[in-house]
Amino acid sequence: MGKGVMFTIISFLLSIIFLGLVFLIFNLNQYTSESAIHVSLFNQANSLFDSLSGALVNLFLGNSGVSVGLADGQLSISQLVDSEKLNKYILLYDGFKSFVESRETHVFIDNSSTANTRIYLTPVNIDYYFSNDSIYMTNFKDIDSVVFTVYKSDIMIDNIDWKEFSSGNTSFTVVFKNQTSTLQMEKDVDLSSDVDVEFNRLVSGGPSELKLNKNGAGLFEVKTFQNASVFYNITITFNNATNLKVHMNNIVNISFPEFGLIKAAKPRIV
Amino acid sequence: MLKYHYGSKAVVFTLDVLIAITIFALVYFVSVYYVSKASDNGFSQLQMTALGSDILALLDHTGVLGSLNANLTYNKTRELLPAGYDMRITAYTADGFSFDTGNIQLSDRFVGAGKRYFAVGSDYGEARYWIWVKE
Repeated sequence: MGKGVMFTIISFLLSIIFLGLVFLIFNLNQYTSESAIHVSLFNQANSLFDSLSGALVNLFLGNSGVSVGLADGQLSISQLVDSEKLNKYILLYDGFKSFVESRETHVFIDNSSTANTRIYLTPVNIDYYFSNDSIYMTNFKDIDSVVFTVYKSDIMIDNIDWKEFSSGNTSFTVVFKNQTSTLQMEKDVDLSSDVDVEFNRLVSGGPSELKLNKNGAGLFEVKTFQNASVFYNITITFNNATNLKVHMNNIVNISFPEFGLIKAAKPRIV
Repeated sequence: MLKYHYGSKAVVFTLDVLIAITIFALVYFVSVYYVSKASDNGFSQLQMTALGSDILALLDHTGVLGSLNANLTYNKTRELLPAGYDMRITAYTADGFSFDTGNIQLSDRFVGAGKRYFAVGSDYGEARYWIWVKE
């Protein structure tokens, strides 16, 4: 009788162990399957995001007149201001947005004009006569020198009056060019902190300012001649209601509501 | 009395063995089934799809896709594609240009697929890829 009880108990315990084992294997199987699906979805979302942001940047760089380059430790930012380019870019942007959204149910490219949601340019071909135009560049690393060049036919460069430069050891040059003359200012600045470069660009107004600011978003990947990737956070802003604006901060938000994902695109220059 | 006693034990023993074998067989086959399913969890297929995505991204970043040149795209794809895989790429742009390069995918096996958007000059478009293991 005692043995019978023992056998029954052992059998019962073994059955429990076996069932537990089956349960564990079943759960492992479910978990790995779900993991593969999640990884697949994230891969697809990332790939889509990467291609969209890359295409937007290519459109912007190819059609807006702004170019950024890095060679031998020198970051060059050039801007050829042209309203025809602006209109073309905006047209292309809207076309691209429609093209993508008609094919992707869960992708939304935000083209609202609220702050920092897209690249946009406002009408140009007017003089700089407001005081709050500004340029921001952020988080530089291993940059020996920076050259910022503005080409604009109607800029009154004779009236630019440099007021201040913060001291440091990185060469920073701003060049304004029009059809007849060039104004260049070069100074060693400290790029690890905010740099204020104030100048008067006015014909008949108050002062404008040029700023380098370490705060802000906008990750740029710049390919060097050695084909290595270098990342910089750069935000360029001419912030004025009627003058030139170049916002390159958080180009676009792409949402994937089905997966609960929201991606904030950042410019990538390849 | 003695005979009945041993006969009862034999019956119990036989029943015990049958139940044990049944439970063992049940657990064994269920375990084997789920373990085999778990090993076929899609990560290898995911890896292959990611490979296709990476190749298309590389073609995009190096400007090959933007060239809209079917032959160049085909040749570069062959350079990048590891042995044992085959791939097909199609692309079309908003301006109406399109090309289709690579082999026709096989229907009897898993085919990884995906797409990218790209811009070239003032045109933009969509590129799709299919990748699978060769015969």
